[in-house]
Amino acid sequence: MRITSIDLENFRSHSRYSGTFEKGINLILGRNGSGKSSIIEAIGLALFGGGLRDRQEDAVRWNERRARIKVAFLADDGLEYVVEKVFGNASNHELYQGELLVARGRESVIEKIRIICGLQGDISRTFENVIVASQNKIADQFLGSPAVRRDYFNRVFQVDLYRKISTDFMRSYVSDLRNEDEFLRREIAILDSQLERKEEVKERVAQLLKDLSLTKKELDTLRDTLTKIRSEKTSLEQVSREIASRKSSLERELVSLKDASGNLKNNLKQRERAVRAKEIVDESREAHDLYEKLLKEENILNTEKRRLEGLAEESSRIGRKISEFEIEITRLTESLSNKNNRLREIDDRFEEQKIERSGLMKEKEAAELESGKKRRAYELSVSKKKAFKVIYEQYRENERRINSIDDQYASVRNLESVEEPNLCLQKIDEEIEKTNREVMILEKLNEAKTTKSAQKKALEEYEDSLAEGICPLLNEKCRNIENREDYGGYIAGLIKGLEEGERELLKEIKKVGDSPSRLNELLGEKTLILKAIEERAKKESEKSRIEEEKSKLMKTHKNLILELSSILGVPAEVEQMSEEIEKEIREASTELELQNKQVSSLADQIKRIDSQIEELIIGRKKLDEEKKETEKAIASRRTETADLRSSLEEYAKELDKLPEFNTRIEETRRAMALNKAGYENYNRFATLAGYLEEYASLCQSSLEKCRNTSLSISRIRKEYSLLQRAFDSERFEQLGIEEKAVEEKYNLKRDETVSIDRDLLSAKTDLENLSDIEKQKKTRQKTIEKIGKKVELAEKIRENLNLTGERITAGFRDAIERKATLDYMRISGMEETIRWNEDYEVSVKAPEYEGGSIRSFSNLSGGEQVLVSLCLRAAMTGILSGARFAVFDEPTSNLDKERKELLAHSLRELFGELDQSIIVTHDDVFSEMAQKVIRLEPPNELETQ
Amino acid sequence: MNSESELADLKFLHCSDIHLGRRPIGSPNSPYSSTRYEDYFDAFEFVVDWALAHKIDAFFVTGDLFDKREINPDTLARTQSILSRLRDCGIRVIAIEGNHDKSFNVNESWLRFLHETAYLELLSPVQGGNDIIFPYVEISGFKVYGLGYPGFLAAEMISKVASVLSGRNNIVLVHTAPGNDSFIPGLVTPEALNVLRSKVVYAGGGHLHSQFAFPANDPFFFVPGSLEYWDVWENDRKGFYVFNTEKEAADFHNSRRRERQEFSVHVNEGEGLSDFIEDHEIHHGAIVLVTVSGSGDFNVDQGGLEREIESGGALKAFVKVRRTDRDITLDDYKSMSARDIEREVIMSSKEWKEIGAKGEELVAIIEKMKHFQEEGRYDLFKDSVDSFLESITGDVS
Repeated sequence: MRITSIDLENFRSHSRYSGTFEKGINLILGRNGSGKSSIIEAIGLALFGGGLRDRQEDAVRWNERRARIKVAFLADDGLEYVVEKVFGNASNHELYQGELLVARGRESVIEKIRIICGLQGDISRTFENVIVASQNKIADQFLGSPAVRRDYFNRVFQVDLYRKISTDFMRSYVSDLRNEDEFLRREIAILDSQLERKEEVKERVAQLLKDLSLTKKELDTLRDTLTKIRSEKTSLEQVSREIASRKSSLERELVSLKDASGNLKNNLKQRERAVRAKEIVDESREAHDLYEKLLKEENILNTEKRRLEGLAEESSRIGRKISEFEIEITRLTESLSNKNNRLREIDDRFEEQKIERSGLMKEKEAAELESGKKRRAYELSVSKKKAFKVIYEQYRENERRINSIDDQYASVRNLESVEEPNLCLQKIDEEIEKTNREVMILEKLNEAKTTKSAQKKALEEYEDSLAEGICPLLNEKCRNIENREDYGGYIAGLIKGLEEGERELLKEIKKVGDSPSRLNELLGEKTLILKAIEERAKKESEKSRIEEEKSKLMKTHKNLILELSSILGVPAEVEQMSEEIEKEIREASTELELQNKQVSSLADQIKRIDSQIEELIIGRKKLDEEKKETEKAIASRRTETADLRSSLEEYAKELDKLPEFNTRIEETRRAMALNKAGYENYNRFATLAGYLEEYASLCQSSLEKCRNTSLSISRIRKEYSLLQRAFDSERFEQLGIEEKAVEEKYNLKRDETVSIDRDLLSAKTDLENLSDIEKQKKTRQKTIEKIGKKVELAEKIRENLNLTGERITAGFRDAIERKATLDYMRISGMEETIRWNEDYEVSVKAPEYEGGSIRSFSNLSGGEQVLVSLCLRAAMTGILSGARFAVFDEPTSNLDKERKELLAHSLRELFGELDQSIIVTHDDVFSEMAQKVIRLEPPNELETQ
Repeated sequence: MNSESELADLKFLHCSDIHLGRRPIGSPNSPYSSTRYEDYFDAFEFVVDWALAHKIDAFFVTGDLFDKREINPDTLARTQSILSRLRDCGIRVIAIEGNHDKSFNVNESWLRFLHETAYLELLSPVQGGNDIIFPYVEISGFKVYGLGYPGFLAAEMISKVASVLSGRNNIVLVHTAPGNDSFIPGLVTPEALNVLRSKVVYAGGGHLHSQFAFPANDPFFFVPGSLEYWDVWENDRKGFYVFNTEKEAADFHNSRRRERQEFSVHVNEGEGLSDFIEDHEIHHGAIVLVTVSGSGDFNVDQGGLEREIESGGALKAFVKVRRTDRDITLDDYKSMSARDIEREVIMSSKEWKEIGAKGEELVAIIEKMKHFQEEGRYDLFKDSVDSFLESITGDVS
């Protein structure tokens, strides 16, 4: 993980703070009280839920009501998360992924951060003990007594949980198992008391089984007796039912015989009527047949007569139609000759238009030819203008350059009036030499003056000691001084003499006092003159260059004028040439335009004639089609008229036959009247005569039926009397009484069996329950056995947990020791190994080939202690945190310069490969190695670099 | 007739991890870099051509359309040009962000820009009051939801979206894939994915660069893989899926990508690889990958061989040397984590083995014991330890 930005509001000394962090090493640099450590506290509180040095409420800025921390960080999934914590008079803790709220409330926020940053265990402890290395603690953790060290690192390693499980929950679990065991044993005792009844129940079941089999046998005997009685009774009932059946059949047969004799009488009567009808029919058959034949003939003749009458009507309709067609043909012929006239007119007009068009086309071609000529003239003028323009621009540019060269030349020429600088230089050098001499005199005078003042001051200062005769140089009595009389006057005289000398010197100094300043001025002037000489040389060379360039430009100027006049064809002034060209273009353009207008007017006329010709062609085509239509109509009408005339002729031939048909119809009708009576008689009796044979057969079958029924009646009578003799009604009644008595006995026995069965079932259930109880007892015994095993295992687990905790601690220590050694060797360049024993005592061991001597941590030099501690620390961060993130809070306190530098170097080597490390310091020894430096000033003003 | 059977017969194309704008690391102005930059666009063009030729109904991109959050103007312009071909044919493009192109700020998202300029429709969850809201688009009766790249919150997001889905005519797009791999952050466990099974007709994943369908029998979650090799050593199937709503089946199609030749050679002690070029046919323009294995003292000039293969016509060559005579030692693992150490101690413990407890099961139960002890949940602690002891002692009859 790595932090990307932090925002604080009213947190500790920060009223408002915003800062961004980079990948790699970040330095928070500031003096004491600038709020450096507060930033680390804020990270700890918001992200890890810990790391505050006092109560949360005390972290709210003085006189403010609430504090707010907002930290943005990148997690291992590559996404940016933002955690926001508010506390004070309002409280809130939220985690966002982008704008999505993913957790709220301290517990769930911290748990989620634990997961997304790949941390394990209690992350506030990990932050406080592994991620943050606090002031001075870098080496201190490895000093102190074994008990203190053990306590600290057990906390860091977070393995005390194993011991806690063993003594807390695991112990409770074992005691729960023991309680369960006791409870089960009590239950087994209760079950045992219930099982005492089992033998008694078994005996009862056996007795009931015996009783049941006895009762069932008796019941079977009774059932057999009842069955026999019932079967005899059933056979008697069968005979009785048959007697009744015979009686009803006899009655049915008698009724049937009576119906059959009635039918026979009716059929005989009908047969007689049919015989009479047959005689009449035979007599009238001949007349009937003749009549029918005549009737058919009359029908045929009538049909033919009606057809001929229809033909007459059709003939007169066709006549009318023919005269209509003749009128129409006359009208169409007139229309046809009319159309032919119009076609001739159109053809004449078409020829006229064609002649006019070809005249115009010739005119247009001539105009276009002329237009082409004009266009070429125009294009020539335009290209002339373009060429002229290009060269004209070159000409203008050249002119501008000539002007600028002239200006430059003027400026160079002006300088010639300045006074000859070499003469000035000579004068000023003489002046400088003179002034230099004066300066040297001044220095000497000043020295003399200082000597005199010092002598005078010494005399004044040591006046008292001199009075005692003590020499100020030797600091002891001097005979020369001691023996002098009036030493006061002598000294005053000396002082006076010195004062006079001083005054003289001052006068001298005044004369030459301004010599250094003058010298400076002169030197300044000389520099200016030297510059002027240099400038002048430059100008000279510039002047010759300008002259050369001007002559070149003038040559170009002439050439360009020549080129321009060659374009125009005649020599002239440049401006005039330009106007000439413009004029030429204007004229060419006007002519071209006029010519183009003429061409387009001719084209318009041709277009108009073309559209008239087009119209004529369309009109002719249409008229032609109409003419053809008319011709077709005339032909068709003529064909139709001819067809109608031939039909009319055929009809006239047929109509000639009509009078003959009328005569034949009259004759037939007379013959029909003669035979009509015979025809009608035949029709009346023919149906009845047809039924004669049928009636005869009906009579025969009725007679047959009467005979059969009489036979059946006599057979049934015989059977009936036989059955009546066979039925014994007394025996039947006796059987009924016997059946009832046996039935009662059977029912009693059956109830008895059911009751025994019920008792048996209940006894069996009782027995089953007891077996269940036995099973339960066995199950409980097995459970007790299992609990015993579990207790044994749980006790071992408790031991193992303690052992595992210790082994993990050892594992951590080994891994840290191994990794720290690798780093230590790499950085120190030595073969020594770091050792960290079970009391967390650190030592360094020399390689075997150097004797393998061991030095304890306290015996290491200060620098070695820092390096060893950092290596262990880095290994701990790598192995225990998983966050690839480390914080150092004032790591340089109380370190000398050499150790500080070693620390800076080692930090980069050891922690540079983490995602991010933050170093809080007031010492800028780390500045060079940091990817980002954040400087904090006490009044909470931030300045980043 | 129910509403499900009234739905039209539609075809949805699903691709992912296109990584437009990607350049290989190192030498940004080399011909190799420029060619590979083009390769990613070519692969995308190929899929768009396919979509247009087969008249698909909608085009899904499940993350990492771009290789980076910040893209250059050329990448943007070319992406717009390709997407506009789909837009002009009325094919809707539904996209989500991946871990490569997910912006940390809405105003700086290029995908959001493409959404606002109507080149595609971007779907991502938004915060609404106390709950997360999942916006969706509707295509002929199918609701399409987009979850973006949820990172470590993948399981949580999937469970949340599952709780708001109704019916089965839903499609969920998410930049994650099934897996338990702690080396690739942002994957999701198969169990967590299963909550979607009865609630979607199709779920489109991404993030992994190899084709994958989950579960193997009757899959509903499909990862098409990247279109081009993001890393040249990737060697699994890559392409795109086409889901047919009537058949409820997804067909996989291979993508078009740069040719890649992979060779393994063994070198004996004292030998070199001077004959490699003569013995192997190198294709013009291909990326050539060579793994050299050997033991003892053998001599392979990796850089020299790479240059030789490239002068033989390959676009680029990579030579990897693997020694077979050296076991990986503890020193190779620069930092074993606390968790690794804890696991190793527990799994190698003699005492635990003596009571019949070992392996992952033991690690898991100890983890649970620690967790419940810390949480103060004796009830859960007791249940876990009890069932663990049951498993050791055998079932109670």
